[in-house]
Amino acid sequence: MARIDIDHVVKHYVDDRIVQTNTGRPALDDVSLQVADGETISIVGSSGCGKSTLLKVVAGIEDPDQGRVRYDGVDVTGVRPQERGVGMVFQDYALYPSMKGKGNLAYYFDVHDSSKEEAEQRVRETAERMGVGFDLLLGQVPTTLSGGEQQRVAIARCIVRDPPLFLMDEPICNLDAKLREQTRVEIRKLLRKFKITTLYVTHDQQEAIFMGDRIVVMRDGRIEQVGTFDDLYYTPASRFVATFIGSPPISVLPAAVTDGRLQLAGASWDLPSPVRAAVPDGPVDLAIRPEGWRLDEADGLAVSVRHIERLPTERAAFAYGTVAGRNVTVILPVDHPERDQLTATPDLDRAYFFEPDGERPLHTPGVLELF
Amino acid sequence: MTLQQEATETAGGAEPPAGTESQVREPAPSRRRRLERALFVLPAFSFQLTWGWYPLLMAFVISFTNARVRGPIEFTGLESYERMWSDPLVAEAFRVTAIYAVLSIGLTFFIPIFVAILLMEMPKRHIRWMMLLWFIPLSGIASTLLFRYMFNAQYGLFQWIATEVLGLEPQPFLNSSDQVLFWLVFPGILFFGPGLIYMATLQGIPASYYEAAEIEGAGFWRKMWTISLPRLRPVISMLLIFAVIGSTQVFEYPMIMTGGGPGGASRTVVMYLYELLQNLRYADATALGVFLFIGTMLLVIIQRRFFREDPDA
Amino acid sequence: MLFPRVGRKQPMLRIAWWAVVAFLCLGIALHLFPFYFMLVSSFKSGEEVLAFPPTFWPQDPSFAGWKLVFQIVQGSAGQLLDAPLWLFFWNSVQITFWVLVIGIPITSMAAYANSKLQRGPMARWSFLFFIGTLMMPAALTLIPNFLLTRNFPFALPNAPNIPGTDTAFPTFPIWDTHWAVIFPICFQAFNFLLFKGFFDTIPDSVIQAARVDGGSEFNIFRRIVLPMSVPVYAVTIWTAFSLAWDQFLWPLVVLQTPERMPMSVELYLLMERIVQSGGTSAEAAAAEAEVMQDMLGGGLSWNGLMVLAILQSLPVFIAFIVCREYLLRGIRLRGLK
Repeated sequence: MARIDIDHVVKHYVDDRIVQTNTGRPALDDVSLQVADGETISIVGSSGCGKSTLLKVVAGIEDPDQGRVRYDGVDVTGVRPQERGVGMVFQDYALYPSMKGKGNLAYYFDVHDSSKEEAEQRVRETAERMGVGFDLLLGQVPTTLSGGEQQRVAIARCIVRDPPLFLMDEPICNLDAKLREQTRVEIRKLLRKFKITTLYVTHDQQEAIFMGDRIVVMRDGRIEQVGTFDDLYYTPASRFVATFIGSPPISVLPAAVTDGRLQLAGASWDLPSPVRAAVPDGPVDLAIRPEGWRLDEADGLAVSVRHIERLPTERAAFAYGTVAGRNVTVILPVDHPERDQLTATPDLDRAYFFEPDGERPLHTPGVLELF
Repeated sequence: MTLQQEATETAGGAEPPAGTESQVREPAPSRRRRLERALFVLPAFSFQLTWGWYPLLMAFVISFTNARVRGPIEFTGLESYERMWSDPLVAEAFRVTAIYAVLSIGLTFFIPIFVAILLMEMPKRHIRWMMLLWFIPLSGIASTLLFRYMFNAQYGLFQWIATEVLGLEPQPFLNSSDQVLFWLVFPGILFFGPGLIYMATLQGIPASYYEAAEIEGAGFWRKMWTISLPRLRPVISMLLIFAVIGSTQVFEYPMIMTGGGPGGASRTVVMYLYELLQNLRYADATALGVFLFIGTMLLVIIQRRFFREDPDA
Repeated sequence: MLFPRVGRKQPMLRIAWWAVVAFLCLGIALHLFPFYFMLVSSFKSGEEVLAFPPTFWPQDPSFAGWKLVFQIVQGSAGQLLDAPLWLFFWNSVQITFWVLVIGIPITSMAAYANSKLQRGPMARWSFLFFIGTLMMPAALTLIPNFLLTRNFPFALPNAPNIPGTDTAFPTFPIWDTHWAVIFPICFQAFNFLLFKGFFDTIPDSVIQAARVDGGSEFNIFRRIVLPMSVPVYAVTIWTAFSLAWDQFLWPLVVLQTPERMPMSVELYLLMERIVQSGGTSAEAAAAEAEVMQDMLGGGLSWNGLMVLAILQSLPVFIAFIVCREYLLRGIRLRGLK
């Protein structure tokens, strides 16, 4: 197991034109991250944000243009991936098509001058760890395996060598929904069991929340914020994080503050004192999560409802509608009657304030004390 | 525990944990990576350099000299070009080659494209054997030999077709300077190698494209025009270049079938170049090669212009 | 799929469909006819191949052609050939063997490196370096290549003198050896293109996974990439094979000793000797027939040549049949990009 330091890494991709015309933004732009021993970090972001590139830089598949990568304090920048001994699972599983499952697992030992017996034994041990029915997969070539089975072989191929570091690049995004649910629990169990330091890349925030001890949100080659889910949810470092995390997403409404009163779509409320200190007079963007509304109060806003989505298991329903032309989402009790109009009041204690048309948060509600 | 040890072990001797501090240094493996890359490329590189680019460069050098078997070599400027330019046989050879190239491309280039498109229409289980039979190859020398036999004016099969089947006058075939170039195209018709490339490319078109077009109401020709041909376009463009280069360099068909006759009516540029080489006129032969090169390049440039916009790029 | 899936029962579509089938079958028949005619002619007697009208089935099947050819093979037919025929066959086999053994590995390794190891402008330059000669007419490099085999490593009629002395640089002539035939066609740019097209479609992640597993680049190439690439190897082996086997102009230029000629050139020389084609005018054709009549005394004419043509075609044919499974799967060309 290892502690990982990623230190001011910059990475540009080159294309294969003779004259390099694109001097555009780098795939990774000054990325720094510390991963503690045994920790699982989820990296989440929209496609093209550099999350896979970061993983490849850590694996050594891509060389960074600047910056260092250290394993346990040992500088491994420029060390070939062959000599790093990490385990990696790819989005398309990247199994060796010409080898059976067993050959896929044993390739590591083949190229490391291990004895046949050792390889055999390690493969057997791993098969036991991977659970029931895994033996059957070892005798088949990857093309005959289903997606879920390929994925299990790919994971086994990584853990067979007891890697100090486990890198997963969207390992379950090609599976169908039900299998994805099940596999993510399995992976989580494995990670907890072996306490391997893990970087887990995904574009699905639910998956990121489920897998990671901490979550990294990336955007355009930069890290926006690192933290636990609560950190990201209640104290986002930027408007991007606030809108990216949370489903359904946060609603952003342009408002104005005059003399400590918030004006929005003809209504106005007094700001609570901690907010008043942080938010100056003038225009401001108010952001409310679906659960941050109070229903049916006298000074509420009129929300015209487009449709209502019921989630019986959560005993709730989401109302999607508009306020003053902006999309908002409001959580309702599951038995709330269907209506075209709602009256909803923003709960200003649980509201987020951003500078208008800027990224910087002026005030965030802070982590909710549940207990 | 053991994992820790293994991490350092697998990191191997090449990367001892000595550099604990983040000192900046050029890592050794990066050099190794470059070396590995070089080893992959080096053999082919040396072959391509020695037998590809170096002779090409020397061709231009030699064409400006008086290169001969003995004696020192002197630069004589454009002398050999002038000699070749004023040689009536050269002009004749270019005329012959141009006519042959036009006939050969016009008559043979487009057949495999349409055959490939039509073959893909056949039921799946029949495509395989039909394709094999269409594209089955014959040795080029052997088929040229066979055609020489069949074109014989006295007892050839084609004479039989002309007189007995079509009821024409006996034809001179290869003995007529008017017809000879047309008949020389025929051995080339047997080679459908490009057809395999077209089929492989067509095979890569997802069926859903055609289904979508069908829903839009596209018919046979429209689907061919908007789906099949655009997909084939880069390949057609490439093979057309090869066809142009290949047909302007035709040698073995006239050499084996007519030997350049009758009266030079099928003496192509490369055949004349071969004659010059046999007469040890190296510089002249190379100058002739340069003429051919310039001519072919012009055609290739025109062709590239014509095919410039690439729908898949 | 140009024909719609449904509604094929419509009379117009049916007619069109059967027209296409008929066209393809007719093409196949026309295409196979030369094979048939070659085979049939080889079993005709010496007189029958010169008979007019030509026969489509041997009136008097005889193995004269085959027998005679096998006599030449054993070197007993005397003046016609300078050496027993099997020797030329063996020369062709040797040349083709070395072209494949040297050419295929180096071409595929370079294409692999270009596709998966090199990046950026370097990859582009290297690509152009390798396929650039594809656009140049080989006739241009014929003379320099010929001179290069005479005075390796100088592509000049004579090696230049060592500066300051009267002695010429030492040279290593490979002219008139098989190596002179083999080396120039070892690296074939078109095969490079075929390999590159194929390797480009192998997902990077498989190679990256193997790197993470610790395989050296060469080990990855041998253990992972090679087994995945059997189709493209089949295709390139086939193209390289047909090219090397059927070479004509280059061995004619570069080989001198009759015993070293490959089968393709010898076939031509033998034909020239039998047919004595001085000119191709009407009288010459008549004279040609006369000469043929003389040859008939020896019993050899087009029937024997057809036997040789079949022998020359057989390896190309067999290579095609052997590789047939892979031909379509191995070609993944995307044009000259």
